[in-house]
Amino acid sequence: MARMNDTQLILQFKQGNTRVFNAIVERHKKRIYFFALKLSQDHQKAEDISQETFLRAYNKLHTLKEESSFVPWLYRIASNYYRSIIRRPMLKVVSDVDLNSLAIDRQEEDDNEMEKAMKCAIAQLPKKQKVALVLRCFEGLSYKEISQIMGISNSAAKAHVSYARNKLRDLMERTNDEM
Amino acid sequence: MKCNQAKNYMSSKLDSELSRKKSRLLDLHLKSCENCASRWKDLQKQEALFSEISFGDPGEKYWKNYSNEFVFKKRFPIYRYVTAAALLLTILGMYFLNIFYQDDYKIYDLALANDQQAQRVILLKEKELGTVDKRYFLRDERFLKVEKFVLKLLTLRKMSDSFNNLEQLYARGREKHLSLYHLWQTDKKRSLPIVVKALDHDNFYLLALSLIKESERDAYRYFATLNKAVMWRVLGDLRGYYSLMMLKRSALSGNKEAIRALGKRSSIKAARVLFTCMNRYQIRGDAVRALHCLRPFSIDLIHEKIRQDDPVGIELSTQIFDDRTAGVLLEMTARTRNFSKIVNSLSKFKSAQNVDFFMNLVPYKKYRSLALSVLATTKDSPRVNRFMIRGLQHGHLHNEFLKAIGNNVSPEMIEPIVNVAYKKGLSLIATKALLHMPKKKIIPYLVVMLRSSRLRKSASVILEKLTNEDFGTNEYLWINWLKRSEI
Repeated sequence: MARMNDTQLILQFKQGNTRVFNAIVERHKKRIYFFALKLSQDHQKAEDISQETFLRAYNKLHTLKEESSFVPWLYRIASNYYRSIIRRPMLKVVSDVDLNSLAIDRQEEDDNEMEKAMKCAIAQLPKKQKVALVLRCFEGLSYKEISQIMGISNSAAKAHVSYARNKLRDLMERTNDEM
Repeated sequence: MKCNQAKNYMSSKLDSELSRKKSRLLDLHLKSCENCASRWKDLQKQEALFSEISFGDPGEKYWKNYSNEFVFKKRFPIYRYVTAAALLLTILGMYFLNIFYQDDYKIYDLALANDQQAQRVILLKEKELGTVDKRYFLRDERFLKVEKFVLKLLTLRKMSDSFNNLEQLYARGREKHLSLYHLWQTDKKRSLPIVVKALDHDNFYLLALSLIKESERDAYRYFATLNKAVMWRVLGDLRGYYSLMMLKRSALSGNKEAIRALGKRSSIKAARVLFTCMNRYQIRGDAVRALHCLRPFSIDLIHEKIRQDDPVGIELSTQIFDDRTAGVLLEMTARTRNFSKIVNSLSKFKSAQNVDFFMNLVPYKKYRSLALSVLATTKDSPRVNRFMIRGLQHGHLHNEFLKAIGNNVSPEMIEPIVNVAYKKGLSLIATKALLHMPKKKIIPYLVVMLRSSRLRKSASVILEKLTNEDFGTNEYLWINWLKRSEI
């Protein structure tokens, strides 16, 4: 199963072998989790977004026409879900998981000032610009893919990224001045 | 290049998607603009930072448990069952409703056949449930026989389509008055154009007018669509502020129809507007006529203006007045700046109130002839006659008194006039004054006058005029004639 590519796995899934979806999750879980983490900068939310993304993908995979565009499709689900949850105030869930045990917190302490400022600035970006920037600069997607994911035109995607870069620079500059 | 454009170019350059030409332009700009140059440096640093920045891996333990945390199973597609159930329910509902409706339609037909009981049942059902199919009654003009019932049904509840149904009834039914009224009650805004249009028909005029009075502010915008004659009629019959302002604008721009309409409005406000029209010569006549129609409001206004010493008001008082006007004018005589105008106006009132005023006015040369002529024609004759006789006997103003007396036909005056006639230079004017007196009384005096050499000629001329006899200046012939005649 590990040798199969995404397209083959999806075809098998469509034929009724739902077990192959675990392989798909294994393959893409980190990508989606980190994408969600960059957007939300919160482990809890990133986990929620990634899991919801895979759940939705599982339920709707049979409707996917082009198997080759599976990854942008996953990004699209994730970014849509992210945009929908930040639209409404989240209910705070008290999790049984001991969050302190997670490596993320320990590592945050090691983050240098610059990274902290950058994360803080990204968090302040408008949501569309944030999604476009993360997809372009962190995930390294092309503008065509970004436009597919976000459901916008190519030039609009470029404009979003350009605004995001410039705004990020302005925010960083402001943070540096304050420091 | 502007800085905003440069920002976009920078982003493209970071993506290595900027053409050579644009890249050159950007470089040129960066050399000239310090801000953009600094921004470009920051952006480059920032781009490098993107790849360095780490968001922290939750660790292998987390990833191992990740897939176990959720079990993939097809979510219960509850919405499908819900949709199916809803569909089933709808079909069942439709089936039962159809059965009920079939029963309903039997009752509807009975109601259309003017069955009172069926109508009562339908009305009750509409009142309680609002489920009566009203369109059934409107279809194919079924309502014509039971129009009042259908109207009652339509107005029982305000539904979204009740206005349209009523409009249909108004257009095609016979009870148009009732329909129009209910249309108005249902939705004033939507029915306004219809009501305004109804003003064109004499039958609906009064109803439509009374409805429009309720919301004149919205209605007056539609007046322009009316026939001009009807529009002026409506504006004259309305009583609100907006129609008055509309009339005022038109009246001041010289529209005579507007002035006539103002005359119908019977309010002091309309009178005020008309009063301002008096300043325009072209429309003064129409304004006066309209003010005539506006009595007593216009009279109150004129009194107010007289008290304010307004010359136009004083002049108008000769044409538009009542019993109090003379009193108001008299009050003002003591403190007016338009004394001569007030005197002129007062001279038109032949009332006993004015007698004292005009008697006091006689010594003043300017007003003497006017005052005397007023006194001579006034109705308070005994007092005035005494005054005139005194004037004739003692005064040195015989001439003017005699001229004024020409209008007075009181027989008491004959003797004093005859006495004056013997005075030098006054014979002709005095004998002329006698001309208007009763024939029977003056002929003996004239015959006696024939004895006087000074009066003989004028007396004989007047005798000839009065009697159509020609006895010349011969006194005896006249006396004989007098004895023979029946006078």
